[in-house]
Amino acid sequence: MSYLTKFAVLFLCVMTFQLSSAQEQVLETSDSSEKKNIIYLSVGAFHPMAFGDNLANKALDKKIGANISLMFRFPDTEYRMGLYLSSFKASVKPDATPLVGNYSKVGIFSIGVQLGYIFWEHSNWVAYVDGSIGFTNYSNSSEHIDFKDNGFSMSLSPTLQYDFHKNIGLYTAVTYRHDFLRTKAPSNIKNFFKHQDYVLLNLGIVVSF
Amino acid sequence: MKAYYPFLLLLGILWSCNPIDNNKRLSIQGKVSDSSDDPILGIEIKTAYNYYILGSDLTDMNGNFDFASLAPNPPELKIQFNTKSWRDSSVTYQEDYGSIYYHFNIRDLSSSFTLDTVQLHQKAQLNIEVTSSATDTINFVLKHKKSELHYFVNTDNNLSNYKYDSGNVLPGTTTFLYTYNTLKDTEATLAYRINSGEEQEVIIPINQPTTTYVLSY
Repeated sequence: MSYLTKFAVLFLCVMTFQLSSAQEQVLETSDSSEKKNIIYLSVGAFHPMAFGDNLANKALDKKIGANISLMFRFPDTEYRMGLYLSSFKASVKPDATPLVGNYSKVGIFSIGVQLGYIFWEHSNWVAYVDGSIGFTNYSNSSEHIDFKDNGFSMSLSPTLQYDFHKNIGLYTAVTYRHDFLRTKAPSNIKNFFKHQDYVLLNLGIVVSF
Repeated sequence: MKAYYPFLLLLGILWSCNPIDNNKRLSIQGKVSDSSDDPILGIEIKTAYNYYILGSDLTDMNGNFDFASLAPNPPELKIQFNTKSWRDSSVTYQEDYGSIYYHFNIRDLSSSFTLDTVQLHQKAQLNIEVTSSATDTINFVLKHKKSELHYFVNTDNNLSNYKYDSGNVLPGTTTFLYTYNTLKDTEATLAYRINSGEEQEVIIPINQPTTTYVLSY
């Protein structure tokens, strides 16, 4: 079973569980007087899927990645802000050398700031959207070659979080991510390297306090 | 602070050794045909810096190629047609054809290289048959095309694409057969001198896979 299939099955299971639990708890009342946590540490995994006529979609076999974020919720508001790190690996498809050049491995790392808005809180459920902007680096290598493509990255992540403990929760998110690389190339192949589009399926845990 | 200097120096050296430009790609396009202007399918074109292969592609059925390449950090780029080396275990090398190297050395390395039709000649064999006479000595020099051609663009290198082979036949009654590897649909020039006579020259057209020229005198 491919990474994508495994990840999709897991993702759907968690989403189904969360949605069915949400329906059962609709009648429950939330305790708005309870003091809300303001610091959120999220650690998760994501499956990157690319689309469009670009390097990420046409030339890379992408592996499961990991991300971590530390967010601070502004007291008495619905806004949150923080930092994130994200990383995943990919290999260049065997027949993609004419598209990208002669290298075989890519490590994609991203770091930046996130701003989020919590638009729904009910009982143990929280739904929010995080937007991020950061620096991204594609470390490319093969046996004798090592070089980089870099630029900046923007993303938007609608997220659903379920807190099964006062301080621990699970989250799932679907992220749209766009990487703007600085790669200089002639006009016929420029956009292929400049713009990378991804959809990421995320799963992870959140520790809040 | 001074203790860090060797470390910084080492880092600088390592950094400067990187043969690939960050954040850059080149585009290589063109067409390959044989000496009859017919397109050749499946010829491998590679870009290289020293022994680093930076990109590659195969010609399609119309002889066209179009690929992206990494950019070398010193602006010295080779575009190679149908080549094979010990380091690069190419399985697409076509034994029947010669090889061509284009060498570019330009400061502002252009990011797009469009090569017009590149003519790749088939390999050929030239035999020179000489039968010695009882009294005469013959010396000859044969000028013919190498099967590996080099073209230098924007450089002062004048590496010749011709090979010069010489021989001499002493008095006797033996028939000698000299064999040379060259390219089909080219010409070879045979310059020879009998004893201490005047030099004579003959042009030998090579339009068959094997051409045999009988030098009689």
